[in-house]
Amino acid sequence: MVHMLQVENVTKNFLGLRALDACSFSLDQGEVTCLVGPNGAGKTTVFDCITGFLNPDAGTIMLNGETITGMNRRKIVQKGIGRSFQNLRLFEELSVIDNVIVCLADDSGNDPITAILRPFHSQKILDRKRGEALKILERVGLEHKADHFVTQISFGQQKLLCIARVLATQAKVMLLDEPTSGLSATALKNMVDVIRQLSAAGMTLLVVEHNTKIVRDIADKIVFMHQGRVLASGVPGDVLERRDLADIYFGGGN
Amino acid sequence: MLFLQLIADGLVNGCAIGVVAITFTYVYTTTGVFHVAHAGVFTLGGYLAWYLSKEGIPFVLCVALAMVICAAVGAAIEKGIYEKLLKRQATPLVQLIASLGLLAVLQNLVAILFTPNVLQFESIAWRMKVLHFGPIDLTIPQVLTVFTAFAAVYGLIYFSTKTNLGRRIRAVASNRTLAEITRLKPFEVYVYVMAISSALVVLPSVFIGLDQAMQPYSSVLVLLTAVIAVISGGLGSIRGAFSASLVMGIVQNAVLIVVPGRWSIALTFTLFIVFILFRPTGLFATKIRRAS
Amino acid sequence: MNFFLSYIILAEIFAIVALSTNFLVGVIGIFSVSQAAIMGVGAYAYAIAVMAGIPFPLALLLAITLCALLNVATSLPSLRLEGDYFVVTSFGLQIVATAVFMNWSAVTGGTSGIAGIPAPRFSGLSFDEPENFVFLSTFALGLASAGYWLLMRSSYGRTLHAIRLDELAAVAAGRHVLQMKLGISAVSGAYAGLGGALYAIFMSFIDPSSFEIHVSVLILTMLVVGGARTLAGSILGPFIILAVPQMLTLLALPPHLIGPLRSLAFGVILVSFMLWLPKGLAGRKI
Repeated sequence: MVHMLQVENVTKNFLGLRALDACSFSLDQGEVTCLVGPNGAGKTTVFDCITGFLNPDAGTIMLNGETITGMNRRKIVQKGIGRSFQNLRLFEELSVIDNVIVCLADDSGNDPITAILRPFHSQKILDRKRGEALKILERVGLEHKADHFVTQISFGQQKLLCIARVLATQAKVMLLDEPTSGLSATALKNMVDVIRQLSAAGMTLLVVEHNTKIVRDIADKIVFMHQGRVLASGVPGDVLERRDLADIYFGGGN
Repeated sequence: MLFLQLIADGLVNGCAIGVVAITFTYVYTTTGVFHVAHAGVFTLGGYLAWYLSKEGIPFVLCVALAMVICAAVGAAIEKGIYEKLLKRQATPLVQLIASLGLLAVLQNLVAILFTPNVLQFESIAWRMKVLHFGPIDLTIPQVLTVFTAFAAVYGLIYFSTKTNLGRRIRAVASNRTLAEITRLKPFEVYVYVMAISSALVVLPSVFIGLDQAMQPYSSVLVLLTAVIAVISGGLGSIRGAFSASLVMGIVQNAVLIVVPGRWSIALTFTLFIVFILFRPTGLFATKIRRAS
Repeated sequence: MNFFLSYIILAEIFAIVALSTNFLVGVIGIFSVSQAAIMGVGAYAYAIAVMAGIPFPLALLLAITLCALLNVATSLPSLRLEGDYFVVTSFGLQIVATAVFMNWSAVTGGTSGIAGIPAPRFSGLSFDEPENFVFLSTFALGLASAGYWLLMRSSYGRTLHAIRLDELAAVAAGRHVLQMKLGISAVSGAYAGLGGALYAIFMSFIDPSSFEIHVSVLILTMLVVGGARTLAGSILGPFIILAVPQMLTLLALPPHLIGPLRSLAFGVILVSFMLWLPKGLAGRKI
């Protein structure tokens, strides 16, 4: 069976340091996979390799059976892999809806000729994109904040906006880097609901998550990493019950 | 023989460019500021030495005084402008525009205080004296350019590897955030770096001025050539920047056989563009990068 | 009256060039000290074309296109790379352009420049006189401003802002960052070319000194004083800065010091604004 995303023996070295050591795991459509492990386990490096921000030294990554290793970052986004960042990286001087508009997969109107010489056409494109962006904001419950600036919305809403931006790229696989960290109880519940809804709508998700309670809540599968290696992967019940892994996770990483 | 002479002249020019290059790199890699105003300090140093020599002060003293004043100017620029901008977390663009403004201030101050016209060190009689080295003729200022350049390079290398302050500067250059935590006082270090670089850059300015002539606005060309050498060398070290400058000086002069001098900057720049457009990765192991 | 009109016309021409700088410095956040060079290429291209008998609209189009292409060609290498390469390419372009204007005498007239550049005539109406030319320059600035406004509010303009704010996030969103930067670089070149051509028409004489690095610094000063990233800033700046030399003439200074004093003033203005008012009078944060 062809997996939605398959990571095979991916290895990455930094200055002689092995950041990833023959990592293998796979994601299936509509499933939420949680990537867990102590700090420095290589979770963000996995994201960087999948999205082309880093080139793995060895191994292959396949999307729906097609090899995407070595492809440039933009191409990978167009193929349907989107990511969020741990430190959000929102466009802070833009409005909420503009943050979504500039991430839309639709690249029409993004050239100076259309913008200056065909103003009416350009406006039509902008209106269409606005409509599309509003629909995406509705999916994460931010439509009422569309015209606010990023700095005027709460942290929880900023994190939802990150998801909206990834949705805008028409991603089929979503990589979320710590979407729930630092959230208040209500914002957390909200985020968990959004992730569940996305998954129910057929989205494939890979989520870096530290809170085991949330992992139990959302994960269909767990990939446990430590020191650049995948130590275990499987259904939450199996992985979370393993004593040795719990020791690594709570015992300070060693 | 003409060819050998051209090479020798090129080497002399390369030495002068080299000192500008290493001092610019020293500031850039430590403070992170693209210090365009370095060209202004260069101009100021030359004119100060010229003015002092005209007043009858012994030449060595003129150079020393010019270096001291420029060191103070460099330190003042760091303290009064760059430090303020860095502490306010101004973008590199803002720093760059401020530096450009400073360049205009320095060059035009020189033009107003001294003269906007081309001038020569008329009070120094020995500046035209020629020494013969086999088939090659070099003027005394040219010989001094080479000597002082090597002294500056090796002095700076010695300073940054063997002295406490030098090592502290390197530590700050390699990691500013860490430096702040470990109380290496980066901002104090920047002042030293600017003072040292500003003092050293007086040397090539004076000797080029002695050998040829000075003009308040020509230093931008010198700085540009130096920065191109730094990038083309791409080595990020004092020695690397200097060696690349020597090659640059020689090539620029050797080319004079086929291309008239007035086109030499156009040629250098075009080569640079082609260079970075098709840069073979092997040649450019490291890229020019500001300290972060 | 003529004196005042000349001031208006020059300020309008420089406002178009300031908008050109604004696209680079304000909108995508890269340094530029070569706007005068590009403007000069536009001026020379227009003058040479028109004096070779090419009709006004075609000569204008030629100048604009040439400048757009030149700006793209010279910014391409540095935009491809991270780091401060564009500082070098910008300074280099300015210095090389001046060398070409001075030394390619057969085409540019060398240091003596090109004189007697004819003004266009439309159905008997000549644009020789400031009274008529002011309509042309106002119209051109109007078009340029409309272009700026349209561009900034389009989805392209919003994407450019995003690229300036966080290039990596824009790449992660699948945007073709290099292509977009080159696009705005072309527009910037076209604006500078238009400004240069208008300058050549209005002065009817051009020489290398009109497009030296000092002029580039002057243009940057206009943008900094007016303020980056707004239409108002780019228009306000030239009107304020061009008044400075007029004020200096009131001080009865020795003539050979006027040039350096003016440049000194611009230097002081640049540093002061960066230290205390980086937004300029009517702009945004840079």
